[in-house]
Parts: sequence; structure tokens; C-alpha cells
Amino acid sequence: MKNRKIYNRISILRKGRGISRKELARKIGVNFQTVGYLEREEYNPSLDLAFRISEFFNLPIDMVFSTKPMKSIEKILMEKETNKNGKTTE
Amino acid sequence: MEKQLSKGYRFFYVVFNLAMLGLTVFSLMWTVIGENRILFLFPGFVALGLLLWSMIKIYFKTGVWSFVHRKSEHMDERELTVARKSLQKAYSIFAVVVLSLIVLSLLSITIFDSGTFIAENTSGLWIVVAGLIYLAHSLPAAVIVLQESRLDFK
Repeated sequence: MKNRKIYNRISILRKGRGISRKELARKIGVNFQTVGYLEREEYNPSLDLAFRISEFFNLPIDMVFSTKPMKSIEKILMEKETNKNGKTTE
Repeated sequence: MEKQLSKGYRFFYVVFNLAMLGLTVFSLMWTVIGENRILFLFPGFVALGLLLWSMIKIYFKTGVWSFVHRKSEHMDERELTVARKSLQKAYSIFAVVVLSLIVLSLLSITIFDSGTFIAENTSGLWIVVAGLIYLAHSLPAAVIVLQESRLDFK
């Protein structure tokens, strides 16, 4: 059976924290090439690894991984802000 | 980021390496058991040199050789998957090669009555055994070189 593609925000989150692929790899217990594969979405992590990654970033798992293409966190926050402002003006 | 080798380049080196293995085994076997030994000795060593050169170029320098020979405790989940897939394919190919060699030997014994010749020249068979040992070790690496989209194994 062909696996579904799992999308993620690892690259953005890692860059946001200012850490290298090697550092992240060491923290989550994989080789640094695997971080590259994860960031390029060429490899679907196991559930255990997905949890380790989201625990490292201190975020819920669905903020890091998704089965649908992911919007950037900034975009989501901006949308929330717009919705909020829209509701207040009403 | 390291420059990736093209698929054509990889294919060429893998095929070249296997061709040199075949030529080395053939030439050195006839050097050991043939009548005109010196005729096969030179091409045998040239092929052996080219075999080692292509092996260094495509398996050692890319890090694939050390990857397929790494202990599983030192691999992460993605690497284990890659290694398992390559070993599975390599095992199938190796089984076909060995079974084909056995069938060919049996056919040559039955059709050409070469049993006595083979029995008298067992020293040549050691060259074939050495070739098969190399093949068994290099096939998983060859599968990875041909199938993986990126060769990030250093």
C-alpha cells in the first residue's frame, strides 16, 4: 500500500529556533540526513519520531504535521487576527 | 549542500563495476586453470584495477559502502528502511545469480561432460567464490546507488 504524503513545518520551526539540522538531529535521535529528508517531505516519520519532534518544538503534533499542505504559522495567526478584527467591527 | 550524482553517472559506474567484476573473474580463472596463462593474466589485473577504481568512485566516496555495512544499532528508522529494501532486492538478485551459475554448471557437466575438467581445476572455482563474495557485499550498495533519489550517506 502506498503511504500518504505527510506535510510538516520542521524547516520553518527549526530555522525559527536558529538551530542547525545536526543539532536538531542530535536532539531527536536521528542522523542529520534524515532531518533533510523530513524537511523536504521525502520521508514520513514514525509516530514515535513525530511525537519526539513535536515535543522538541513544544507544540501539538497537528501544528507540526498534517496530511494536507500546511499554511505557515504566520499566515494562520494573521487569518485569526483578521477574523477577530472582523468580529469586533461587526 | 553536496552536489548529487546524476542517475546516468551512477548507472554507468554500477554497470562498469559489475562488468569489471565479470572480466576479472573470467580472466583470473583462466589464468589459474588455462593453458595459455600469461594471455589472461594482464587483462585480469587491468580489470581488477578498474574494478577497485570504480568501487572507490561509486561506493566508497559516496559513503554507500560504509552505510550498507553499518550495524543496525547505528541507524535511524529511515536508514533502516533504506537498508532493508536494498538488502531484500540484493538478496533476490544474488539468489538468481547463484542459482543460474549452478544450473549452468550442471548443464555443462551434462551436455559437454565437463565434470572431470571442473574436478581437476577446482583452484579456478576459488576465483568464482571470491567474485561471489564481492558481489554479495556490493549488491546492496548497487541497489541503493541506483534507486535512492539522493546519495546522502557520508
